[in-house]
Amino acid sequence: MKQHNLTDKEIDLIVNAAYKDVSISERIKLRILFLRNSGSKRIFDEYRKTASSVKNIKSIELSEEVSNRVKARIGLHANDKRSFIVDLYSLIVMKPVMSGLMAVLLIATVATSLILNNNKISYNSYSEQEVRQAEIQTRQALDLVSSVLSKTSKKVKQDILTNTVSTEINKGINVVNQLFIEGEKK
Amino acid sequence: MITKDVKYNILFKQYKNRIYGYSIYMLKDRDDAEDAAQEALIRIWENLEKFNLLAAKTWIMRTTHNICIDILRRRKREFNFNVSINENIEESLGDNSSNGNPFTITHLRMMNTKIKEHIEELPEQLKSVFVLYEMQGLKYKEISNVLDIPINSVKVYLLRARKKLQEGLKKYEAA
Repeated sequence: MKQHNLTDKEIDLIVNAAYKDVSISERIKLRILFLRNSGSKRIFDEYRKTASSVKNIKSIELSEEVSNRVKARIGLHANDKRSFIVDLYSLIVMKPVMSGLMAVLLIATVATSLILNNNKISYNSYSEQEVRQAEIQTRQALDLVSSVLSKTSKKVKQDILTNTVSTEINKGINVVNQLFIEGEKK
Repeated sequence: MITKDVKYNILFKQYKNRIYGYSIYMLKDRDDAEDAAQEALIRIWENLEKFNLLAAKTWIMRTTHNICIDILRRRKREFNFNVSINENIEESLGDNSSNGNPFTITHLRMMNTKIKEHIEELPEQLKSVFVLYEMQGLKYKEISNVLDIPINSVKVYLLRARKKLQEGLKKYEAA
């Protein structure tokens, strides 16, 4: 079987794939390229090795001495006692996914404890009207949560699955089809 | 309400090593990198009201990049600066996949040293894109904003940097 010669575009694809910087359809293209050209896998492996080493390099840390010097120059205390607040803010502001997860966890815990202790709640100290009002408010809150959940589900179904995932899969299938057609022509 | 010093401490904690890491790759000298990092960290304090926490990354990295470029220009004007690989680079060598095997650790250290040397030898523009993407984890759009170049140029420079790095390593292994 005649060996397929690599084009510049295919080499670029191999390089980017080695650094895990390609889409699903490009990954499929690469797998097919490996079958058509045995040398392509070797090039990929070489780049992959370098990419792994690059990813393995630890970040370089600024020394405490320089950190303290900077803080002294701008008039901040070197060892701020409010570091817990800073850590908390860092978590919430810089990692919104993390804080989102924590919020979900908190809501789930509160909901579970409410359900488990539901029977123990006494309504003796509340008037009938207050209890009715609370019921209405609870229903409204649950409606709100349900509307958010249904919107999310809609978004996952329509936007993410339809537009993002299926588009990539379609692209991949088109690439495979195209290659089969080209193969048949040859 | 977040006070100015709490906001600053959040950014300081989050970015001090990123700033220093980027500076050391760009300037190839520990003292200059420390100066650049100090300057960048002080500018953050002075301009804290100009950006919000979520948009800080681009501003901070652009400021750091500009400071490094200024130092490089000054250096070029003053004398033909020729520095060797700084001893500080050694401290940051990763050995997390070595499993404690001394042979593997040594091999990884040597490999990483070579890679770092070759990254440092990349042309300025390729190096800044490569370091921002691969080591600092910035996205194409963020790099485009930091360096004020189109996204397509970011992609092209990144690809060239990857190829050039590989070429350099290949030459080293062949020698």
